[in-house]
Amino acid sequence: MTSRFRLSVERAPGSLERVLAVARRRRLGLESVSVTAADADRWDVAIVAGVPSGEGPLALRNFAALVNVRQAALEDIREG
Amino acid sequence: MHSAAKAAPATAMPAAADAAPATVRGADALCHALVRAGVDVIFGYPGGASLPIYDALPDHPALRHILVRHEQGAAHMADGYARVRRRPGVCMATSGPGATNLVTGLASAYMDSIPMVAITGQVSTALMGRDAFQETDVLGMVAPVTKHAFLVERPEDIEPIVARAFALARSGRPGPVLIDIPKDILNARVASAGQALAAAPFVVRDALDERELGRAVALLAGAERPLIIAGHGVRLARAHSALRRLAERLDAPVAHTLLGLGAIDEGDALSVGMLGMHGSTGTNASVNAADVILGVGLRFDDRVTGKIAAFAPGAKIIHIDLDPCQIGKNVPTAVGIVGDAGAALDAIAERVPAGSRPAWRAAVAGWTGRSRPKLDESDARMELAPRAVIRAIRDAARADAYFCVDVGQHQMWAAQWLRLRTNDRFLTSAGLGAMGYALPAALGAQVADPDADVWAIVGDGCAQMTIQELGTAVQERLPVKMVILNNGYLGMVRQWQQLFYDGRISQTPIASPDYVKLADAYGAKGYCVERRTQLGPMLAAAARETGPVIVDVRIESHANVWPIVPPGGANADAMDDPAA
Repeated sequence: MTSRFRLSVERAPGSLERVLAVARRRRLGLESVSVTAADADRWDVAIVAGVPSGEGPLALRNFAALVNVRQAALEDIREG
Repeated sequence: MHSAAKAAPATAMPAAADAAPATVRGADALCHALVRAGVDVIFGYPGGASLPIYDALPDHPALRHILVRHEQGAAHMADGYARVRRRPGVCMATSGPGATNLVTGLASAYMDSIPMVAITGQVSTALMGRDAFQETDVLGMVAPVTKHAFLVERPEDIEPIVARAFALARSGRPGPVLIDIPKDILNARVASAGQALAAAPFVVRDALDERELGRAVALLAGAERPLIIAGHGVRLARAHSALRRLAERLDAPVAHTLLGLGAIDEGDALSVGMLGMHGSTGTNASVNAADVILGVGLRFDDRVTGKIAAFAPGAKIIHIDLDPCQIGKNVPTAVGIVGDAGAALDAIAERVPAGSRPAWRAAVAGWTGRSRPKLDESDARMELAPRAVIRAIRDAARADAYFCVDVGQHQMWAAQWLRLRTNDRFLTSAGLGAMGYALPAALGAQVADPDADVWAIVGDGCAQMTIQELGTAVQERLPVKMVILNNGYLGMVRQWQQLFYDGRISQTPIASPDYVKLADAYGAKGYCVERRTQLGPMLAAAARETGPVIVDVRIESHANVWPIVPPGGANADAMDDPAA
């Protein structure tokens, strides 16, 4: 399954590193990561990744648990 | 689309003014904030980047500083302190190697859900990113092993960040938080220091899901063979009574994980002991025969489940955990309840009908209550059998003693044979399995409860990883009893080489120093036990010592831990003691 995670992340030291640490721990096969400035305080992060079965909701919960992540959403893009 | 939004984290709220000066150095602001957070002890080691803090410390006598011999020891001491005092432990290191030396202790605390706040000095902001002397990117380094790590960028942020760090460390599933403070921030003047800061807890789900509760109650009410597995979460939530009430209401046996040891009195009729890789075969058989398993405050890790496909194959699993990330992570769950263990257990107990399951209880008693006369015969053939040594330690210690246990064979022997009657007296690095944990953790426990009877049970490999903290014990007059189960091997690794690597013994024989002379050199007392007849008297003498003491016990060198589940195997495939 290829999925897209959309995160709203505070612009704080280490916050992007923490997001990427979750991606690594949940064994997401990264296809792309994009970061854009939403405003002076937040980044919008989009991660497109191959997600092993059952890992998507866990990764979403892990992202949402990060202190600097304000919102997290997951959508499935394509099967296989 | 799935989504997970959350409320903004609580920000530090001004609560009341105090007597602190209007402007202070950043280092003093840090000390004020620590005192207001309730800190009374810091385990630390000074260095260049943290010099301003150490210059400020003498002006803050409410903060007792324990000078460790290595920063790993500081982190493990903060861990032991936190487990006993039930509040965040604090450790401190300088930048670079000081910070990197903390990482093992942070990782251990993270795995075992121990609240901790680590403070690291950092090079000045003008030098950051320039590979300055003793500069490391500690935030990047600790990201996977902390709940969060803060870099303080402005001196006025010190106090609010300290308040947030403590709130975060103890909120929800507890864990370590790191605060990295550049030296120039510590030296800068803070214009608005002096306000007490009360950070509200971070977002924690406090209402239990009624639908999930209802499904759990229905499953348990209809169960013929229910079994509860108690993990560390029961102890962290202080849910011992709630656990016992529900188990009694269901007439369900209670197994425990390594850190669940102490969740239920091991002499209780409902307690069936530890499950998993080194759990008793009877306990694992009971788990595998259950039709409904209620797991409370555990993550069902590989040491608990063995081969997951063969774990409790006929059981539906109800999983209670404060951390939603744990539900469904390792085992398929029929019902997941996110919330405090005590609240969830009470809620189920209020709703589930009382049941009596004599046939099930009799079957479990048949599996778990088998007498093992050949074990006694096997012990009798050894001069110093590990099981006899563990029992002798228990007999020499006070009934309410703390046992800080290291990692390896002795850890499993202690878990199997201490048979603790008092709750929450077993401290070990369970998740990370960090060798060298026990002695510093015991020192932290002793600092947290100066009148307590504190024993460190270690192997000869573990002892040599953090033995230097004996210097801390002597300097601080901490009367910890360190018992070394000395078999001349890295025993657990050797056991695996014997059993699973065709007996090729590779780099596991390990020499030790003369621990009696070593203790003497440090200014501590030392005993060496080589005969069975010496064991009881020397442990009793150690128990009477008023300062730190080492007891070097020369146990049977080739004794192994039984049962053992082979790697990748199912719990049902456990190999038992060939002598039993």
